[in-house]
Amino acid sequence: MAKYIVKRVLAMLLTLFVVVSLTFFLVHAIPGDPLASMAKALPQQTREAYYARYGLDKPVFEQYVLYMKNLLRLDLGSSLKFAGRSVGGTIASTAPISGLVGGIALLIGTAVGVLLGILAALNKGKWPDQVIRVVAILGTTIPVFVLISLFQLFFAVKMGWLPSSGWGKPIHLVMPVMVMCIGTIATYSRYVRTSMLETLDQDYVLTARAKGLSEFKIVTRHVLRNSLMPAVTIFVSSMVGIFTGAFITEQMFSIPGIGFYYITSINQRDYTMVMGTTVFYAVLFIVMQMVLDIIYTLIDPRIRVAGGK
Amino acid sequence: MDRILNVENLQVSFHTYAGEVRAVRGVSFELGRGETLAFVGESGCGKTATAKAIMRLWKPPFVEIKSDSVVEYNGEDVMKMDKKRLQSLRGNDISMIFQDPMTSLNPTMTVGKQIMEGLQLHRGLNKAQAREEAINMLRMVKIPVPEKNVDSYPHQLSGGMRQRVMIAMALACQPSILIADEPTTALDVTIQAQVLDLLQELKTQLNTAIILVTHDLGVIANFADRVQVMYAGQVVERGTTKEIFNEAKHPYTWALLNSVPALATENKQELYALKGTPPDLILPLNHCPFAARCEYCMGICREQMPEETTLSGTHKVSCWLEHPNAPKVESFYDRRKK
Amino acid sequence: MQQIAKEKFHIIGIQEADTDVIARPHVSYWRDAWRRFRKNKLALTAFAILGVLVILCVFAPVFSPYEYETMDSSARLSGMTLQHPFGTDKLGRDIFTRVWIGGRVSLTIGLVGALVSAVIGCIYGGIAAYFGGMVDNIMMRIVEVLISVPYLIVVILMSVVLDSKSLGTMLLAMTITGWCGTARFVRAQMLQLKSAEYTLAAQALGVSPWKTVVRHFIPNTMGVIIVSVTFDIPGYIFSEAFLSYMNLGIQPPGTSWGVLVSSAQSQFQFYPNQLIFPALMIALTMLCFTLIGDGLRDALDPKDRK
Repeated sequence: MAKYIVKRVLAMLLTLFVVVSLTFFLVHAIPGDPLASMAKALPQQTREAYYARYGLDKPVFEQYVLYMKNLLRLDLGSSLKFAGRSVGGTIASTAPISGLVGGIALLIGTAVGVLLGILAALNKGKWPDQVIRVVAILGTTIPVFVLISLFQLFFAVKMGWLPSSGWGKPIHLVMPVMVMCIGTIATYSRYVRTSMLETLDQDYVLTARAKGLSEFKIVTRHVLRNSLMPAVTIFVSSMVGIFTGAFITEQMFSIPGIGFYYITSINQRDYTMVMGTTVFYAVLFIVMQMVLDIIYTLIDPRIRVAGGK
Repeated sequence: MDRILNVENLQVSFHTYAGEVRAVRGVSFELGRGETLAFVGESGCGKTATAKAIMRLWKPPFVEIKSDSVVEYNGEDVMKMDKKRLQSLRGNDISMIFQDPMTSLNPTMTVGKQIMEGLQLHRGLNKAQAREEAINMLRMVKIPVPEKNVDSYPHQLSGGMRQRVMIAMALACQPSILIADEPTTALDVTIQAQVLDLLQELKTQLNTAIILVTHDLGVIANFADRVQVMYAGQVVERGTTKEIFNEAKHPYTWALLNSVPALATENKQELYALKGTPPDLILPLNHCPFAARCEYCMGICREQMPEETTLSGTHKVSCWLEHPNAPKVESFYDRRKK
Repeated sequence: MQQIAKEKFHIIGIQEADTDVIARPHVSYWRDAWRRFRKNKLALTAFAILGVLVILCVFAPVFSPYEYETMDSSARLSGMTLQHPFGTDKLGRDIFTRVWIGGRVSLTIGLVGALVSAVIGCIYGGIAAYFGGMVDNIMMRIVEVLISVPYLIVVILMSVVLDSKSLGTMLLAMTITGWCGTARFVRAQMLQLKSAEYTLAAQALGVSPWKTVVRHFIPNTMGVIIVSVTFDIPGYIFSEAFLSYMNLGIQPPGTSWGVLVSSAQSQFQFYPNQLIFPALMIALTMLCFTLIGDGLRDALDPKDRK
């Protein structure tokens, strides 16, 4: 097992290295330099000092080595647009906000989605199944920004129940969480339904039935565990989605989360910020994938053994 | 003989896109306490469908057990049982083991827990008692180191061991009837013999009646008391094992006997392969279903269904050759003697 | 016992002609799938709606009295009228015409994006599975790396890096890692087929590798690939809308559903018609493709072929 984990961690580090390098060279391949528009007006000397400060006067490869060195010390550099604002600090202060909104939405969404999926599978072909399927498909087909517009119009403008945007009070959480839930519910209910139907078809379910177990016990003891296992996969990617998927939601509700800053920095061509955030996302994603593998080995005894060998 | 199961006119249909497939077409039989009855026939002849229908394991609406079918367990009508009674019947009075031990066990639950489930449910044991009993059952089916293997997951055991676990699970509550659906088909030949020996031993020990579903006549020779040969959802011949092996009258039974190497090659005769395939059960079939593949097919065979003729108290056959007007034909046994 | 004529008891034996009575018409895989798909009313309806949308996208702008980029200062911010069934935007452009022009772009992105990534994915996954061993190992590692960057980030990053906002750039940004999922899945499918018993049987019978691929691999993967393409299309349409919302999409005077929606979004409360129609088209298209995908999956899955 230990050997397996070491191997996984090494593979993970390699992947991270490749991803970071790729991103670095991609960002640096952008034609024109990021300071150009800003530095144009400056006198020659100041401009040089400016370039030197960000290391932009050195050859790309040297910059790369420098960036990697800093990265090892967890230093992501500082913003190109806002002097003195460090990328790492920005991430550290904005990511928890995204995590809070996304986390609540993910928990509620997963719980509701899984329940609906189970309900749909157990009533396959009957009306609860039909209704849930239609809701699920609708949930995934309406673009988020349309949904948000509709919500804001209804709950804030027409009814006046909720503030249309803003941050600071718990009530500001309600609408973003609702919006983010819908997609999660839709995804999970579809996924769980399919996986559950597949499990219900397995021979061991028949064995359980022949044993005299009630349908309820068959589902709780034999079907759920085996059909929720694949759902763990999407749970992990949606954990990353807490941060990435919320670009639009955060912007439209003016939530000062990391997604909001990511969009801002893209629009302002703040490359160190873009770069830093991307690296953050990639790390998160890769680490989560490893977590997923480990969770998998914990819940599936078949993998547990294979991994130990 | 103390009758424990009575099945009359059992009919099972599958509703498919193409139409209604009548998989079981009026099967009737009885089973005595402690008796072993074998269902023999090619795949798709309705053996498994019959077996599953006894426990009402089919789920509507795609599979329908026709309403005039009768299944009586100990005089009690299984078809009319409510959910609760049906659940207490399954596993406790009648239990079943399936063909493929690889897929019939839940991969994410230890075998011990899977055995314990039935014990806790039907016999009201607590966890510790059930575990103790599960270990005893594993010992009984000759799993090595049962105290340790009770915590094994199915994938850690070999195919033969898994089938033993299935048997332990099925017999845990000492049911009166065990339905074994092709219990050895998925196993190696040597393991097959072991599993059958074990079943035989447990059967006498626990006085369990067994319904053995198989396509292999070789398997039942030393195992079954009675045999019923099924074809296209019907019983075409039935009798004691001795009668079926030594005095069979139905050409289909002959064909089956001929395909058992040990019986067929005594005289260096070539193995006989039955031509063609069984009829599609979507057809109404109001004549002998075997007619198209029968060497001795007569005009009448293609027009009318033969009635069941009683040859002795136990031996019955449904074939037009038994009609007084039918010609005498050379049987499987006559040919073998040559 | 009833009386039966003696001549009925002549042995006639097996008549070769009827040993294999054909009870149901023998239908090919595709025929059978099509028959089942046809029975799925929901999917058929979706198919019809999609057809109508496509026809409108192709022909409506041709017959519309307005050009999609012509501004008309006399008819700015018009509501739904007979002249402008969907109203006009703040520059007085006819939204009805713009919706169908935008639809061309959005649908093109969806279809081409999904097809391109399917083709690349199939080739890549097929090669990896066919050669196996080291080649497979390296190829799959590469995919793993590419997949480990969140998709939307890649798309955003690519659009920023390429610094051009044409249709081609957007497609490139979206497909650059979009094929990875297909590649993985085609490889898995191929490996499964490679070890399937009928492949071994075919090899044992001396069937050439080329024929094995044509006869067994392609028909057996085709179904799942078609289904995955169908499910990918709405994903691309959605990504396009997303990029447009972030100002990384098609630039004026060009337009797409995503662009229309995002430009209408700020004044949604006053002119809902500007947002509703393009949004409806996006939702409708995604809904149709999802339903068709569901229908195809059910129809093409040989597991419950009866």
